[in-house]
Amino acid sequence: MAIDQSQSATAATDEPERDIIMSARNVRVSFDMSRGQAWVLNDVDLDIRREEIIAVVGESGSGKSMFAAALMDAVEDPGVLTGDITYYPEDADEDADRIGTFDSGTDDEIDVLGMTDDELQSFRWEQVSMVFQGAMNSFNPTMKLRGHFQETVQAHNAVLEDRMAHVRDLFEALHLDFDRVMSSYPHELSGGIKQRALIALSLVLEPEVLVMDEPTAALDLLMQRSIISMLQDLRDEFDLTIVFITHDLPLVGGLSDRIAVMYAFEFAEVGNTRTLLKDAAHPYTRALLRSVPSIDSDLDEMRPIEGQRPDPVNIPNGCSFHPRCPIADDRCEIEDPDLVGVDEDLAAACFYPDQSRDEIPYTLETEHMESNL
Amino acid sequence: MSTDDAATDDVAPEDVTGAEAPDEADATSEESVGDDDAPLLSVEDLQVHYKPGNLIERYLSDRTIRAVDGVDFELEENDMIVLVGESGCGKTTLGKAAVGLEQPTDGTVEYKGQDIWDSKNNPRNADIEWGEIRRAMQVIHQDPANALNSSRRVRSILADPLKKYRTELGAEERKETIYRYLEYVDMMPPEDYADRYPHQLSGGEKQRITLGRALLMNPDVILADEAISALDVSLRVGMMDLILDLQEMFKTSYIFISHDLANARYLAKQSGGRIAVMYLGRIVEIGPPDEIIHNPSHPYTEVLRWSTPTIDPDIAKEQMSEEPPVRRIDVPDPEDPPSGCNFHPRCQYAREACTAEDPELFDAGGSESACFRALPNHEYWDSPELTDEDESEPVQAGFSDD
Repeated sequence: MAIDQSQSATAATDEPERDIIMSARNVRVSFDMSRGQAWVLNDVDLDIRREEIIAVVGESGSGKSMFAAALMDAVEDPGVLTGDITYYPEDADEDADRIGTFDSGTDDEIDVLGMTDDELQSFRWEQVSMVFQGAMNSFNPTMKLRGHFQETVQAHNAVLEDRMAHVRDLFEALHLDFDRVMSSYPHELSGGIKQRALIALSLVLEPEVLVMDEPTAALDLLMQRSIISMLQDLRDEFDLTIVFITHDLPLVGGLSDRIAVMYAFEFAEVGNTRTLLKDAAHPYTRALLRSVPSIDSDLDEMRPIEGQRPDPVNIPNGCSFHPRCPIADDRCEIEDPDLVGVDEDLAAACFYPDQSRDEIPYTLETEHMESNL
Repeated sequence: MSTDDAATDDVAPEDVTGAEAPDEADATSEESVGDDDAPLLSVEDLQVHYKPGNLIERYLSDRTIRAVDGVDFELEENDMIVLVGESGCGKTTLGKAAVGLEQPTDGTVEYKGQDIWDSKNNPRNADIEWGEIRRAMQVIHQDPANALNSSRRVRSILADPLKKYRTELGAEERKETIYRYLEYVDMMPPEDYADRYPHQLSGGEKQRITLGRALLMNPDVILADEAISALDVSLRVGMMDLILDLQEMFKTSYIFISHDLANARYLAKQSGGRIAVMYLGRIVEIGPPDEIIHNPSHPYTEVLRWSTPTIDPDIAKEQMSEEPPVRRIDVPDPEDPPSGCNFHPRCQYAREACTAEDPELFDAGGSESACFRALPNHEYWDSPELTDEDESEPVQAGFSDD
C-alpha cells in the first residue's frame, strides 16, 4: 500500500494540521493454521495524528482488534507480527528522562516492535495504554480500587502523591466520586463506574495515546452515550490521542475526527469523519452505510451487503471486496488497490471511487421529524 | 420440491396451510371454544418475581426481584411487537413468559382465549392442549451457534420437528418439505445445505436455519430474542428483511426483543407493528414506531432516543454537547424499586405526584404512555417539582451511580 494517503489525506481544510504520533507501515499479523496461513492483518498502513480521536470501524472479524494489539506489540502467540510501528514522543528529551532511554530507535522516533520486554512494559502504560472491551471485569475482586491504582503506579516507579493528584483530575472529568470509588471493592460498583474507573486507571501514568477496544459495548445505552461525551472532554483536557475501535458506525459520527474503515484485515477507507460519512468513496463503506439502519434515516433504501466476509486463510486475490462489490471488474480480481487520496481529506483503496459514488447510493437524510428532541 | 418448481413456491403459503394437520386442529379447537374474537395472544397483568439466593435463602428472606411487574399486551394474527429496553429491564423474561417458557408468578397468558398454564395444569378442562400451544409458539435465540446441535446435519436438525408433529409424512415428503423450507429461508441450493453440519455454515446461515426450523412447526407466534444481534452489522438488515418477507407469507406473529432502537424501528415500521419500551419490568410506552421515535410521550423513551446515536455527522456533532435528558444516570435496584412511578428518581419532569402514585398506561395521542403528563387534568400539573434534596446525587454529577 502506498504512503500516498499520509500526504493526500493529511490536510483537513478547516482544521489545523496535526503532526503524527504513531505510524504503522506494512503491518502484518499471521497465524499458522492447519488449513494454511491466516492473515489477520494484511499489510496495513496508518498514521495516527497527535491529539486526534480516530475511530477504527469494522465488522466482527475484520481485524480491528488485531490492529489495536499490533499498535502496542501485544499480539499474542502464535500470532506473528511484522512490519514497522513507530512512535514519536512529543517532547523527546523530557520523555527520555521520565521513562528512561530507549535503545531502540532514536530519541524522537521509537521503534515499537524492536523494544525489549522492559522497555515495552514502561511504553505500554506511560506512552500508550489500552482499555479493552468488558475490561471492567478485569479488576481484582479482592482489592479495593485504590489498591489497583497504587499497584500500577508503584510498578512503574512513579511518585504516588503526584499520580493521585492526577487521578483526582481524571475522576472529576469522568464524573466519579473520588473517595467513594477509591474505597470500594469492584463488586460494589456498577458497570458504568467500573468502566470509567478503568479509563482513569489507564490514564494514571499520563500516556499520550489511549487505545480503546469497544470500550462501551457491554454498557447500557445511556452510559455508552455518556462515556462517548466524556471522551471528548478527556481528550481536550489531557491532550490525549484516542484510537477508538468499534463495530458501531453511528456511535462515532459525533465523536471522532477521522474514521478508518477496515474490511478483510485491511483499511478500505480512511478520512475525515464528516467527508467519509457524507460521501464515502469505497464501495464497502457505501454498502455498509446503506445496510445500517439508524434511528432516523430513510428505511426504504436499506440493503444488506450481499455475500460473506472472506475467510482469513483464503482472502480473495486482488481487491478483497471484489466478490461482493457491484462495480468490480477484471482489474479488481487481479490487482490489489492501494489507499489513494480521493478528496483532500479522504483516501480509499478502490480503483473506481467516482463510479462507486455514482452507482452505490445511500442516504443519511433523515425522515421528516416533528420531534422536540 | 426441487429448484425447478420455483413457480409453485410462490403460492406456497396456501400449500402449507392446506397440508398442515395442526392447522386443522387449530380450527376445530377454536370452534369448540366459540371465542373467535379472542386475540391470538393476550397477556394480562403478568408478573414474574424471583427470589434471589439459594434454596434456604429463598425460603427465609423476603427479598424479591420484580423482573416483570404487571404487563398487559395483546398480539393479533400477523402482528409484530418489538420489546426494547436496556439490559436487565425484563424484556427477555417477559418474552419467555408470553410464549409459555416461564411460568409467571401472577397474571395470565391466553392463547386464543385459552389460559396456557391452565391448559397445562388441568388438561381435562382445556380447550386447547398444552402440546398444541407449545407447537404454536416457537423461539429463535440470540446465538444460532448454540441453538444448533453441532454434530448433526442440517437435514436431521430440520427433520425433528416434522417427525414429531407431521407424523403423516413419509421420508420422501419430509425431504421435500425440508428442501422447501430451506428455499424459504434463502438457502439455495437446498440439497447442498441440507447435508452440511452447522460449523460449515456462516453465522447468518445458521440463524436462517433456526428461523426455518421454527417455521417448520407452523407456529402462530415466534419469540425472536435478540435474533440479529450476533450477526455481522452488514447482514442484519438482510435477516430482518427475510423475517419480514416470511411473516407476509406465513402470517406469523412475532415478539421481537431488541436493545437497539434503530433496529426496532426498522422491524416495526416495515411490518406495521408496534414498539413497546420496557423499564424495570414494566411497559412504559407502547405504540407505532413513528410516535415512539419522533414523538415520544414517556420521558424514558426520550432517554432511549437520546442514547441512540444518529449517523449524520452534522447532527451527531450537535448532539454531542447535549446534556442527557435525565437527572441521574443510574438504574435503581430492581429489588427495591422506587415508590410511585419507578422512573421518577431519574426523570427530568418528575414532580411530587410521581412519588406517590404509580401511573398505568394512559392514552397519549399516538401511543400509550405510563406517565401522568399524558393526562391534561392530572394533579401532577399542580404538584411541586421534585427537589434533589433527599436524593443522594445532584443533577450535574448525574454520572454517579449507586
